[in-house]
Amino acid sequence: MHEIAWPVIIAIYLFVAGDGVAAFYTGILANTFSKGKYERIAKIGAYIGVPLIIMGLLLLIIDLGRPLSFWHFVLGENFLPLFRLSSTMSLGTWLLTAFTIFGGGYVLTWLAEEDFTRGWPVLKYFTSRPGLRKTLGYLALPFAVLIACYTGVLLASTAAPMWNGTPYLGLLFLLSATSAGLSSIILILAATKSDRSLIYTFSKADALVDILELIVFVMLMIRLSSSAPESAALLLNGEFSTLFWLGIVAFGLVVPLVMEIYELASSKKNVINTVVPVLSAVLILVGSFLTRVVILYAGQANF
Amino acid sequence: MAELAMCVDVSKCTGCRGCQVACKQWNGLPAVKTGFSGSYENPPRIGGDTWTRVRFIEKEDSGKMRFLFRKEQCMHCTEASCQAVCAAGAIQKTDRGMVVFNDDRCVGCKNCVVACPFRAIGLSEETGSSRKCRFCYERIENGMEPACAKACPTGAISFGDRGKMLTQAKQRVSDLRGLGVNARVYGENELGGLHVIYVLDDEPEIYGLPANPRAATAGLFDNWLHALAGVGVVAFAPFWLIFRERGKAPDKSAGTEVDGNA
Repeated sequence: MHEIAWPVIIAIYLFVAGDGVAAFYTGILANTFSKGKYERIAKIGAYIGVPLIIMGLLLLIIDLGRPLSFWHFVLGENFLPLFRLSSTMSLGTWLLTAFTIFGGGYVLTWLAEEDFTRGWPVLKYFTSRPGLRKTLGYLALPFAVLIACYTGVLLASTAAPMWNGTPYLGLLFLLSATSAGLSSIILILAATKSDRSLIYTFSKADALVDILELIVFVMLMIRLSSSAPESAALLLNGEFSTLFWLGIVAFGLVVPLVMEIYELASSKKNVINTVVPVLSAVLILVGSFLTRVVILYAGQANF
Repeated sequence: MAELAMCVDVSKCTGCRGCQVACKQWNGLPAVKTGFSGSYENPPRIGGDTWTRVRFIEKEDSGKMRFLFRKEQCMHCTEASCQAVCAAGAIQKTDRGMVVFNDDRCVGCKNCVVACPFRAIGLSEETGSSRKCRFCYERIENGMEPACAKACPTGAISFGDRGKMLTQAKQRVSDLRGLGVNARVYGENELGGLHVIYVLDDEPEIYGLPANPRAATAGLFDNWLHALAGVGVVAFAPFWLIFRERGKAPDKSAGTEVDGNA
């Protein structure tokens, strides 16, 4: 029996945090690059991202041996802010804090415009403030992007050979998060019966990230096979091989990619069907979660 | 003040586990419920309530079985990974080379547990904090040696000035080599110099020690570099490539493509 220091609750955190911030930056970037065409996506991204990050923070606190002392992460012995550059967790704490503040404010500017929030006291300060929204969105953006990377770098700054054996874990988690974020947006678009061509556009983006993720996965496995062969074997033909090959590689990456390419081809014939992008988005989300679970557990198995 | 160190000579260890018991008693650590793990080794690993233990190794050498022992505990590294990764600033290095946890500051995030290259830290169920060997610093302050060193009946554990410990270890290694033993010193330069020096009579890996231990933060820069390069790539493809809009901003009045789906 292996001793697991970081249990499944941490895998859930790594997943929701990555997925959340990726949905957030996807919305802002899509809206910025399109010069304002995707405002609604930015809203959806923020509605997904901020609650997921708050949920992630709660998961992190629950997992602590002393949950009530969580504030030791941000305040030192002298009650002054504490930041430790060598500690990825310290960096992550501040990234999450900053994102929650700016992203939270950004969400409020959207919430203030919803019908059901009419009359809510605080929100009146956020109503019809396009400048404030823009500023808060751009302030939150870099923190969102860095959080997606940090979830992988956090694992890499440990002694587990699977995690520190390659320089690609931050990159892999960034890509996996981005593809999960895009998939979450696709699912919301499909659930709200949005325009098919819009879903198609996001599915195309998802396919591109999927390809990048596959490339990085191959690079990571090749590097791991030489730097930590025992860890690589755990995934390739050991205890975690079924989950790795079936859950992550086949159903989490290859099958959705094939489906997305099929969809690309069929869209030319003007027979766009949302079933394909929705199904591939679900598979990507499950695959992205399994990536965290498998890497988290396999990393601790031979540690 | 001169740095202190412990010298553990595995060739003198008989696996009596007196050090384990002495550590538990002096530090008031609770017993841990364990099962049979297929060896006399018990508990099966270091934890928040077991700060030192003797590792039992069975090794076959040209048809002959060798029963090897190594007392393991925190190595008090100069480049201490636990101290580097701790976000709460709960870990300090003293000027005598000890790595000491401030239990009041620890939040029990277990980052140090996964960062330690020697797996010498564990979360205590009792306190909810990460704990490990602290070289019995209150004993040292009062002119005594750590509890484990005091209890050792064979002289396998000694404690004192690091320079002296190294000289002693090297002398013992040369004596053992004279007897044809494949002996070596471990800990002189690893991770900037450990404050537990081993006299080993075989390869470090046989004793469960990494031949070239690496600080947990060694790969940080490379990881960030690749991740940030990835950010650039992703921002370009798919985001810029797929979502960019040439020309002027679209008309945001009612009835535009996206808003129409709202």
